[in-house]
Amino acid sequence: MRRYAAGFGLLIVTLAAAVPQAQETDRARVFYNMANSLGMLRTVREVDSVMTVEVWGRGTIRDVAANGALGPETQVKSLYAQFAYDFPGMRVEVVRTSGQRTIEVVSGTYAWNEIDKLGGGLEPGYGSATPAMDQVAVRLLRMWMTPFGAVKAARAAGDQAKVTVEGGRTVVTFPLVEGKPEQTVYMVVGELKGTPMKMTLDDRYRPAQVEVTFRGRKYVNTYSNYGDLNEADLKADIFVPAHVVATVDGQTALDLTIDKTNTYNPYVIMPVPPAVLKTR
Amino acid sequence: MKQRMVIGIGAFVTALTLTSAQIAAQFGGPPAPGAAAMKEAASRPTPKRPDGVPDFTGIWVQTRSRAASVPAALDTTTGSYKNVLQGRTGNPVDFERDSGVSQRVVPREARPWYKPQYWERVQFNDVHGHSAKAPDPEFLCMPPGVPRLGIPQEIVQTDRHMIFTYPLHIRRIYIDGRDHPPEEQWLGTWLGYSVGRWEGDTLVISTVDFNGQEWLGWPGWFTSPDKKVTERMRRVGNTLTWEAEVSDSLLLQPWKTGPVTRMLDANPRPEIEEPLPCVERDLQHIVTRERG
Repeated sequence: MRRYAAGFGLLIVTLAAAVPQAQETDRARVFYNMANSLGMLRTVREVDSVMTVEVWGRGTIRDVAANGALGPETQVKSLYAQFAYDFPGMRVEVVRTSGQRTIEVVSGTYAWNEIDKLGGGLEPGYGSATPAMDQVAVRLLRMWMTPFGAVKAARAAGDQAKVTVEGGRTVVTFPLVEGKPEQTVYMVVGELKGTPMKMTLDDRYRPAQVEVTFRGRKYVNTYSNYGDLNEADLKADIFVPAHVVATVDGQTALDLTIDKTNTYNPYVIMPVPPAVLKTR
Repeated sequence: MKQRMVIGIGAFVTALTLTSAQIAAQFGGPPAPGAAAMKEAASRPTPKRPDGVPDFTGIWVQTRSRAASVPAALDTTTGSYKNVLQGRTGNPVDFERDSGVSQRVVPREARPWYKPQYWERVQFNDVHGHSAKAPDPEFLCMPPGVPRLGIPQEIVQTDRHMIFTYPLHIRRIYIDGRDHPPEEQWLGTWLGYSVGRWEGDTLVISTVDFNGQEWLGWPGWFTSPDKKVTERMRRVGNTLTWEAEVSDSLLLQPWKTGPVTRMLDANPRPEIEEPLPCVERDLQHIVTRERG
């Protein structure tokens, strides 16, 4: 009987330890917990080791113009996205059910659309690239609003980040800060510099919602159903939301189901094509 | 990789059999080669050969102490090294995954920038590097190639050539003024054909004639037989600095690696232990694509 009681007590202690209560307001502990909960802190040194990620998904999407205006909703047959938080850059290839294919890229303070091929425009005769410089800020915003991006941005803000509790949830509020090229995570925020970002964490300190108001529009991303979405023989213990909903001024811009990821820092680069470099 | 694993296991087992005091004396205590030792070594006069060029002859040792390499792994109060192999949670699976993630953290400038038509192949190599689909040649115990071999462990210099030795491998660098053989005579080799010339006190080594099977690095960075490598080596006092630049038709721009600096082994009678042979026995037993 005593053994049973002791076992029961141990179970309660174990459960309490396994499910952290997201009411912590100590900034350093919250920074650690949110990065740790996503699996970003690796090796015995526990350093942020998630630099590049590939994502495959499907759902619905509406194009977001530079001023935040939304286009018509279309069905996404397949979405393939690359994130490189060290470049920093993002490449998103969307194939709609209509057959239309778009490849949008941001790298540092350059943005462009690749035509025909991923990496179009980098090599003569291999696709082409069309500058989209008016999209830099909106695309950088999308990148830094991803779960890994938001956590990295909060940690980069350091002492400027504030941790509060709202409705029982831990909330981290911070301005987007500009980083330096020599830093492993290179925070390039351009026009977003100083823009406040609000991140609400779930009960495991993972980003559940990220909000930013920019150029008078409110961007809200909601993340749920976290899991290691790498293929069964390539698990990395790095956790990504399987469901992503992005809204602009309350209207759904993206409703994405993520089917698969590669979080093993896959080979991803975003050099700026010569034709795009010439635009500045 | 396999060698590293063997060495790692050896260190782990050794550490378990030592007392904490022994470990602290071996790894945690002075003298630890570091910045001060490097500065002192660099302040020594640079020996020259009769023809006036620097003499690179010697055994060149790592400048980082073991303690500096794995500071968080060793608990000097307990002598525990368990985290070296087991990762931060104490689970061997986590070690593999931690290592697999962290080894792929490569700063953007340190990644070779492949032309876009080769991105998919790099990604494929990367996730299949320990399988028969796209095995890393080093995993199969093939020569790592140049510049993956890195800075030599020992150099023997004559007026006509230099012998570079590495664990399990050896290269000859001809410094007698010859050129590369004409391309039609190239054989396609793992370590290439190397000729060196002096630019002041810097040895510039040009290497061609590769087989295109060697990789530049662990994350699937393959090469072509077009690869050309330029290494630059400079001795300052008792330090030797090495760096390399690779051009290849696969790349958008030349890829650079290094610099790496080593110190001359100060032991007047230095020795190099015979390395363990590399024998591939793992490939058929690997059941996942996780590798670390």
